[in-house]
Amino acid sequence: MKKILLTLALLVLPIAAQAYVSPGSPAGFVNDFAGVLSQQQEQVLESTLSQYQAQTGNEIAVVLVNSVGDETIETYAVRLFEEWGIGKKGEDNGALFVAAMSDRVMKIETGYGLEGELTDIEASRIVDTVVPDYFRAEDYDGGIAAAVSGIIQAIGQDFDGGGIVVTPPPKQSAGIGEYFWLIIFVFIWVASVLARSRSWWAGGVVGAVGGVIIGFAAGAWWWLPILVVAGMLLDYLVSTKYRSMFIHKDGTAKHHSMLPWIFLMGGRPGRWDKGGGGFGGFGGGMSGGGGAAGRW
Amino acid sequence: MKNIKTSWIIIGVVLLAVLWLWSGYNGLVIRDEAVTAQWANVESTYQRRLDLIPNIVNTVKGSAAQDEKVFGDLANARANYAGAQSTDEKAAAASQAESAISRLLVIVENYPTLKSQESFQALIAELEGTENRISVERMRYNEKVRDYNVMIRKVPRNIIAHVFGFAPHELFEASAGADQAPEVDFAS
Repeated sequence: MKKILLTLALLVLPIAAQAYVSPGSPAGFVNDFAGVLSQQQEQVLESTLSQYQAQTGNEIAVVLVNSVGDETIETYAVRLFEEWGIGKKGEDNGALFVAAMSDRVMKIETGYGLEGELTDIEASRIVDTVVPDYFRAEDYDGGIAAAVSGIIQAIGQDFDGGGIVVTPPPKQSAGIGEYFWLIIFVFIWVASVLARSRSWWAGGVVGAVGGVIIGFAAGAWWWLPILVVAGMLLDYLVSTKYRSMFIHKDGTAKHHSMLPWIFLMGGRPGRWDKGGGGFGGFGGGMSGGGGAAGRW
Repeated sequence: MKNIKTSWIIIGVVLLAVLWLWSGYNGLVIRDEAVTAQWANVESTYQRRLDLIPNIVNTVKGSAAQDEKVFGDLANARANYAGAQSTDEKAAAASQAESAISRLLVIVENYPTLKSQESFQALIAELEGTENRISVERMRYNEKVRDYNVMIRKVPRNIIAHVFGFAPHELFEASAGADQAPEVDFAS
């Protein structure tokens, strides 16, 4: 009987084939579902935005998610705005900054009531030219600070207070982080070639070539002997151990779950508790697709 | 005695029927009005787009004066929209404007100096925002229409809808070819 009722209930329910998946309910003005902001910065932003709300009435929400799923950032922003009701009902004085970290897209969604102040042109300046410089350098704290202060400035109502410090975006420098996987890949490739060669001296040659390149490029000739010795050692090691390290007896590649770099993947910072604040939920405002979208 | 009882029952049933009719009818009216109101929102975003067109044309004309045809198309679309009376006519004029704008944007690709102008970029930001507003309001229009259409077809309210002549509203379909990006023809 219960089953039948349940089936009937399901039939009566409107078929909502919606791709939008809510990130959850708002815990404050700043909602870092992706866990990319520092705790300190999140607190600064939260207190700034709640002060801003107290002084001007405008509600600015910052939402960072991992992905917008099958949605475009535009529809995602509209749905989220609709669901949370940012801004006061009737006044629609809300604005939403939402970014999907792994999709590398962001959107400023402007409530109906703020469209005159936070124009599309200003919104597009923020998401096209200001924030991407920070986000590309993975300075999310800085990017969000710049976005929030840009939005506040664009709305342009008297507001004093708030501890947001906008620092210039960090200079793009190709640190080892960007070449990390390349180095790992080259290392494995060289090791496998050397292992198959069965010689013990080829590694020394590779090391010598690398040493000469570094010597010419950086003038650091003392690298040469170190690399030659390291290359020979590596060759000796992999020539004798390679098959047992990387290949099963039947010839298939081993999956090295214990290899150290695997540990560097996965596991993101968890959500921290918000300090007790005065966030009493958003006011039920509406938006209509105003604002601008950008990517980085 | 028995007669009195049956007449009370009849009165009760009639009263219930009237109440049901009343609330059923009002529910339909509310949803019908919601569709009409949402269509007004769609129209106001259309108007916003049309108001943008002269600004864009003026900015582009300076650099791309030889591509006269598209400017004529844009002017036609605006005039058609201004003269449109029914929703269908307005929707047709709006999709005409849509295709003219997308052709204009393709033409603009040939003028890198124009594209780098700050005033033009501002207009494009404005246009993008407007197009997004249009799609949001259309989406909401479709939701309201779906609400209404479901209601007039569901038993038992479909009886009321039929008696009082509530016809289904049409959903907004993407205009033909809207899913295809306009072709860039560098030869011409």
